[in-house]
Amino acid sequence: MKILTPIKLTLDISQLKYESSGEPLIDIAPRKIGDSDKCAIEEAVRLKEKHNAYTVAVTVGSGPEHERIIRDAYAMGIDEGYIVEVKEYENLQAITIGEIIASLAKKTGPYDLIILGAGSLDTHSYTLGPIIASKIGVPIIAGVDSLSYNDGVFEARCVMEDGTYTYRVSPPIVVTVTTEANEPRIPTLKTILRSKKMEIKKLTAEDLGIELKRIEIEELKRYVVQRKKIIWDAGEDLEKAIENLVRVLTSEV
Amino acid sequence: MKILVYGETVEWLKQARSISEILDGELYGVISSRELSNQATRIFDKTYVFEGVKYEPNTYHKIIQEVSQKIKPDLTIFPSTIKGRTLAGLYAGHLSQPVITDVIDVKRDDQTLEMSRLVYGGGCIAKIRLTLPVTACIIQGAFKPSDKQVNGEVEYLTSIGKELIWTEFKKREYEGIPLDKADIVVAAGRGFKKKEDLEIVKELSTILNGAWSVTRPLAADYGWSDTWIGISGVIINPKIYIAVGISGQPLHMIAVRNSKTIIAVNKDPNAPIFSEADYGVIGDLYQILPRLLEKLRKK
Amino acid sequence: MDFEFSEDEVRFRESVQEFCKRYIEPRWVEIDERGRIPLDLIKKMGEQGLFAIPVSEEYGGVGGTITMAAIAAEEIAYHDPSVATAVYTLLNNGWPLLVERYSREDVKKEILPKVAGGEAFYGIASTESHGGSDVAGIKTTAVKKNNVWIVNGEKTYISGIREIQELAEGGGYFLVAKTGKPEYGHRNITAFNLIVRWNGKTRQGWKPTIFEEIGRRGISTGGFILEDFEIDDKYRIGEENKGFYYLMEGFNVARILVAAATIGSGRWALDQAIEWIKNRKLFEGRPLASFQAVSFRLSELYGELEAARLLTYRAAWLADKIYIQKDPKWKEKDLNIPVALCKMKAPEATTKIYEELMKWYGAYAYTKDCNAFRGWLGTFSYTIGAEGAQNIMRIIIARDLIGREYVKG
Repeated sequence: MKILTPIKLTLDISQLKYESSGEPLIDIAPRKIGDSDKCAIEEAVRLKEKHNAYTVAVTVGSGPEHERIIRDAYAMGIDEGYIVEVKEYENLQAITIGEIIASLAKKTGPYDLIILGAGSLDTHSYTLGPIIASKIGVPIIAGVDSLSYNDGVFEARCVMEDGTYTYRVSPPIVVTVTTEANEPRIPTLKTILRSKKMEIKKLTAEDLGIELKRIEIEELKRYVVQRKKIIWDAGEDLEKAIENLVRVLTSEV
Repeated sequence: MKILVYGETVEWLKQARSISEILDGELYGVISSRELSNQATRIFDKTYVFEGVKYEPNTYHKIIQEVSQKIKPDLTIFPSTIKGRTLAGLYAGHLSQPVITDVIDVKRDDQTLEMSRLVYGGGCIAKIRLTLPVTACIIQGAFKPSDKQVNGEVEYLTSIGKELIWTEFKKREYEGIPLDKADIVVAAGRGFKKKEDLEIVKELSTILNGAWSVTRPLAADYGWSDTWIGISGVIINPKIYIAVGISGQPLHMIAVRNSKTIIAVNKDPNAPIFSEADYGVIGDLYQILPRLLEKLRKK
Repeated sequence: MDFEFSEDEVRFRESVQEFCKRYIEPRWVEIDERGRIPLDLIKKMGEQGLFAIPVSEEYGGVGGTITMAAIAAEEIAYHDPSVATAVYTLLNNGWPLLVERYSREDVKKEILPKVAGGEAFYGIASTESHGGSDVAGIKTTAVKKNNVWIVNGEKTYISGIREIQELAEGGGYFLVAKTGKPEYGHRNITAFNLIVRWNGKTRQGWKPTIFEEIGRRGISTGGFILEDFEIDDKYRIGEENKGFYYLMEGFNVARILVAAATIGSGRWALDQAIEWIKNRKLFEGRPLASFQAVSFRLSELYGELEAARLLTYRAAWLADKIYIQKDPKWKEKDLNIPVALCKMKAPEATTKIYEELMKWYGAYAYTKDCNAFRGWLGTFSYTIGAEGAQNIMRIIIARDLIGREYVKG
């Protein structure tokens, strides 16, 4: 079995700070690999351990931080890694990223499974997996929290707004996993040291024949919610606070 | 301009009608249930209906794509739910169109669309300009439902017999009112210490005639519930949202921001939720909720 | 001079932090309250490669450095500020390094892999009831009869007594005993691998007792009597009568790790302090942090902690030069002063942070609801004297600065 795990270096939104004007300080915010991407790597490595799969990671971008996330993928057990070098990867359209990954998959595949995190931390769009599936022409199962493989068939469970869906399909497929899928293993010092020595293959978008389409962001500012912000302190006067709450509830209901 | 909409609830379809009014476009809809078709034909200029297929993204996409080929829309809209975003990705990928999710505002300037979308866990709004055709996922509640009624056509699709992939569906059992239909929702967060303590939240929701749920950590980490309110769970926009023991993390707030009134109870005066609430009480929920229930029962 | 951690060290630190957030942070209060580190956690730590870090892969170790072991100690202590888990870890990192350095091949291969895997505990047995700092004055004896040493004596304030009895394999200690003529002073001490329990079987002649300590309760402390305990000569560490020197080497390495652990706990205390003084409002809604007496003190405490931290990692760097890189430019005794400095400064800086934190908390700190006392008591043990008394550190430094003829001890 051959598995591809596309991973994304995204802004760590928990560390995002803002100017007083409301402008987000994007440039100084730290970047990291998304939690659901880590779950995708974990699923891939588990399949490697159970079914002797060969696992490959790919990321789009350039620079030491992208090398770092490929090495972290190695430290979790991934066998091979690619970086598709693109400057200013953060404003690439999702379609373009999908085309790049699909092209790489065709070039280095064929893959039985392409597995990635369902939604990235910064755009949480959930669209990359489906885009890749449509470009390659294979089925997608999205938002999976439980994946297994038996006798040539993948079984995946997705919990959605209206209930739980279970799907069964043979490879090749694309799967996107949520952070409920598993608990990603923590690299040990041994695997970290070993990952340092492994090669990372590099390509460009031209190598893959992809034209880069970008999104121009005209304005980016903090989302300030206009709310009344009428707050009562129960510590000072519990009864009054409760009365106020009751008043609000009975008048608004 | 032609707009194609996929949706599953009447409220959402009416919100799509509002968007078509803003953009001045013809509105086409594709829905997956005959039950909705009566109402849908009053909302859409033309409705395409299919039925008898369980939700399976690849199958649904095939059907929606077929409809799209007939209309050739300039803008295609999906709800910003897990299903909607998945279908939008397949759709846009197939047509090589830009796809934007979590949209909260749209404006049109001839053949370009200016969209505002949430990014960074809902902490920021980005304004983007794109040339049509475009695919977009709109956040439920971002637009007001339109009351405009039309006399639309309807066409029943029969090309697909069953799902492309083996599919099994287990419906979610709701005790009482479904979360996304309730006018009042009470939610419990990490301020709660034991699963048994959630009883009081249930009671409060019953007395107010609403629904109740939890935030993601209580469901995914503690296993106290199968569903949760959050960007990876259910997105709601009730009249009143009461957040108890919830700090107000961005990925949770995205899912509730379009509520008309937000009320928060939290013992941490610095909890981010207080800057997103209309009314709030700083205090211990274990003290406040029982007293609140007492007073409400009397009324 | 390079004041940056290498990429490996940064990645390793992050992996330890992730491990601690998942498995240690949620349980640290329970560990201190119950007075034990759960065996399943010890097993996980072994699997994660947190023991025997500086030991070569050849003997089942991780093949890392003393700096990495210090990083592990610091981060584990940040997530268990009572330092019990960090101390358990550092003992199983520092002393196994000495085992690798001076033991016989077959003994190394027997003991070290089990320690690395978390199945056996390896600690230090030097202190006796009549004196810990006075190593040369130990009374435990070992007499050789046909290639077997017969050991008699007792050791006290020894860590790991209970864990050795509960772990799957067992474990033992770096033991020092008198073997030569009394007139030779510290040159008549030999070091041994004292394996008191192995393969789940306790050896004859080892009689342990367990004490109840006021802090750092997660790791057991106790003592034992050795009654005609037999140690095969192959378990001897290094040359006869040279044990004192090996012991001092071991203390040097262990003290660096201890300093790192106390710093981790101090960092936690400082973070708690920062949160508290920002949010605690009094005297008409003024946050504590807005009072200069408070914010100035915070700055001073941070300065002392950072200084101690730099001293510690400098000592770790030097220890790696000597023991891991085996750079001929440096000798073992070059470590004495750098180690004495960090062991002197780190626990004292941390104790000061806890004292101030608890003053800022006020009466709250005096209740068990506030967990600060656990970190205070745990790190305080290193101000009192565990793993090298603070005043001994002062003697070591003074001797170096002023000379032996002035500093008699």
